[in-house]
Amino acid sequence: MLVALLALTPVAYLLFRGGISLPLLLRELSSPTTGILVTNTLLLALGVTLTCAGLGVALALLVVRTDLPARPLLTVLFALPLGIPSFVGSYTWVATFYELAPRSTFIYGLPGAVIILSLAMYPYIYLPVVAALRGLDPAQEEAARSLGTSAAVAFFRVTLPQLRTAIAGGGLIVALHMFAEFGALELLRFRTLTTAIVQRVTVLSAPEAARTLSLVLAVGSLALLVLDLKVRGRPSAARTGGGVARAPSLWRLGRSRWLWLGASGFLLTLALGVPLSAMGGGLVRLLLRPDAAFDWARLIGATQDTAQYALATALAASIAAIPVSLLAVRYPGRLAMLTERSTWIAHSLPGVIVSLALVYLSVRWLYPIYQTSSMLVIGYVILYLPIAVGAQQVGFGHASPQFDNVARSLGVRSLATFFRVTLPLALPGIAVGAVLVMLNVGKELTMTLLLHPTGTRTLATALWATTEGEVLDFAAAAPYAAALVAITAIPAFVMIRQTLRRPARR
Amino acid sequence: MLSLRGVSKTFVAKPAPVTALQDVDLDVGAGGFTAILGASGCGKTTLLRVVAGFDRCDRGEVTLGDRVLTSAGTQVPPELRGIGIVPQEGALFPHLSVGQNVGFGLGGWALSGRTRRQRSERVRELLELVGLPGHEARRPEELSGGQQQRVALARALAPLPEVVLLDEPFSALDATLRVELREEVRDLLRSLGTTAVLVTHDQEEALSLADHVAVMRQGRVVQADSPHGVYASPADQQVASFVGEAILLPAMVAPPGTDPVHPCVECALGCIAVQGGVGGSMLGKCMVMLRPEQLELADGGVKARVMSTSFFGHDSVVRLRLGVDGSGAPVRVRLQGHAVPRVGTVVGVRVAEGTLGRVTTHDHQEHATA
Repeated sequence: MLVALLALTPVAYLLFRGGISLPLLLRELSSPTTGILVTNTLLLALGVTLTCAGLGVALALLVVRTDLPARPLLTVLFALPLGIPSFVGSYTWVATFYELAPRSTFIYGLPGAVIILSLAMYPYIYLPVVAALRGLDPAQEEAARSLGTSAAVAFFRVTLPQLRTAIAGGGLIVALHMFAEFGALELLRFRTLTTAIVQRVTVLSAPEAARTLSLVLAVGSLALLVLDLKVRGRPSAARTGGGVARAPSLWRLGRSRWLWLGASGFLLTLALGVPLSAMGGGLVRLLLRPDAAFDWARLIGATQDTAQYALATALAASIAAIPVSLLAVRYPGRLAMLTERSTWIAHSLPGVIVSLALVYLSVRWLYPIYQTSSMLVIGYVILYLPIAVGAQQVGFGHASPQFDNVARSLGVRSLATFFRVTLPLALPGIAVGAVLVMLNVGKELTMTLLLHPTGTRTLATALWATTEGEVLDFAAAAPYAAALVAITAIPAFVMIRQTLRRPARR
Repeated sequence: MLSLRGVSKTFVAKPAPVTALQDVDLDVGAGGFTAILGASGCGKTTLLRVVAGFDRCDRGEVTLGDRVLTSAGTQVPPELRGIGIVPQEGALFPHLSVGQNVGFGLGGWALSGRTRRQRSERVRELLELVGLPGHEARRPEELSGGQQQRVALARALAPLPEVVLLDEPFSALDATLRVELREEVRDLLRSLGTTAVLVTHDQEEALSLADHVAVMRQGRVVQADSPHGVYASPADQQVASFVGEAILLPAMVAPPGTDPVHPCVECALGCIAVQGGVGGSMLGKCMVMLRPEQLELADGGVKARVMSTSFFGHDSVVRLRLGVDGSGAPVRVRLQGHAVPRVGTVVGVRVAEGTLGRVTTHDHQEHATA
């Protein structure tokens, strides 16, 4: 409950902090600009989420259920874009186009934004779907086959419905990301509610207008939460029976396997090749330049700061998330649902609004933490708590209450049972959650720009600073981008291994 | 002795609340093997969960010896009950090895070297006991279903529980293994003197293993008796057909005869002596129950047409309809040997010499709700 209250503070701020004067709200809402912004935001979120769902499920099926060559390698490669922050990815695309085709406007606007962001976001659906596919009991699909359905129909009627939780969970993350994305869209020159809000706060100094727009955004994300609830239905992840699922039979691709392999290669070129080559190119140019006046100490400092924030937040968010996820999985009721959902609301607000709320609150009541690292970490926790909760729920779903019962009948008290049975079984999920939080903190830009204590600078804010020049010089940005990718790649790799690890034994 | 008194439980559900247990009274003798027999959904698993302490009941009392486990004011947590459980499919902890599973109830982490040695010694003993010596380091998923059940049993027995609850532990196994394993488990529990409660829907399993059978239906214990008692003297017609094949024939109570202990009833198979009296049907119609093995084929018997036959190896069952044209009541006869009459022929059938039928009643209450 406490956790939920913390998560809801920004919303309370929005509603009560005098920002709501009705005439202003109405004026802002009826302006044609707002209409365009709303349409843009919705189109982007819809486009990216659908593209990611299609890509994520297709790739997951390809590596789990087919006899594609080099599956183990591809399984990992497909997940790697997770390590490239979306605004870094967009930055590399912009830089690449700037270099190769300076006049092209292809990547600017809706189609470009959808393509580039989908390439960065699809692992959020791909990874949980891979995990879910591997956890499924192939006997169900076999039963469907024996009832006279074809392999494809059996997949759609039996397997796909069971991937719903994974797809909906990942999809929600993607859609909400799109609602809150700032950096990438600013670079791709696509205007949404969030970019407009940031602009009103930073450039136009119109916090009132920013608040009204955030209210619209908050309503949108609330609608999204309700929608997700409808799609997902009741969580029923707990597997009954102590048996461990067998490996499913693989679909033979036959000759088309080479086609699929080619398509996979093409996708990887776009999602990984472009950002990496742009970064590599930038680095090479920087090193070859005779007047190399690059401040390496600054880079190292920024790296350390980022890592510290990421670790601290991952720890705090994981601990805060455990009661929420446990409540949601074990005692699915109205209270649990409200608590869980309330954490999502703050997440879907742009970081800038959460930041403003925190600044306001700390100045008023908690002055000692104003402009300290703790405040930034609290802000991160509010933003990324739902990510930890989502992953942990999957973990606790695997820790069937049946195991608790058995443990207690063996004379182990409930607290000890939690530490000896529930927690170890849920640990993969908790670890995934912690890593996802770290990744997100590492990438976070907007809130860090506003809340970071004076003197500290994360990789993301340092990178962002290089975009502010008149001429696009990616060489100066490349080390930060590379360091950012390196720092997010480590937890991404851990997470990928965690999700993809599967006992070789049958 | 494990005793249940007036245990009731209702689940909140839509559209109407579901009564899972209704005033259940049950006594399980110490060291005995009791089977709770019932069709799925009769409340037997709920009963087990109440006894184990996983679920609370709304009313009633559960006592073990002189300890009150569950009553209006007390709810002893599962870990303090001393009641072990072997769940349906074993439910071995997937994150632990076989040895760690068995040793789970033998203390947590904070163990001295000595107690740790004692523990691994005990684990070794238990695995030997269940016929899996040296399997400590194996992973649960490497074991077959039967082996997983053995480990689950060893795990439940490790902390020396007074009572072990077996929740349909054999139902997922194949037939031969099932029969072997369940007899082995029964003998093991008997030799250890552990009280066992088996929940099952398989009447053969209940009758062959247990020394006491409680038949449950719609949240009630409708009969609790020895296996023979349940089979030979079922409480009502549903119990009769649930615990075995039953032939039910309408009958009239004959005028009081010579034998006051075994009065006679008149039915399609003639006059049959019954045990246990004729109940409330003193003056009128009743139903008489016979088992297929109480009938025999004989030339002098009532004429019946053979409808079908089934050969089982050790015996055969012949399904007949009474009357030369096969229009009468259906009757089954179990035959020893393999001289089975051909389908369509007319044979004579009669009640074997010296056997007793039984007058049964409908469960009226159930009829009203059905």
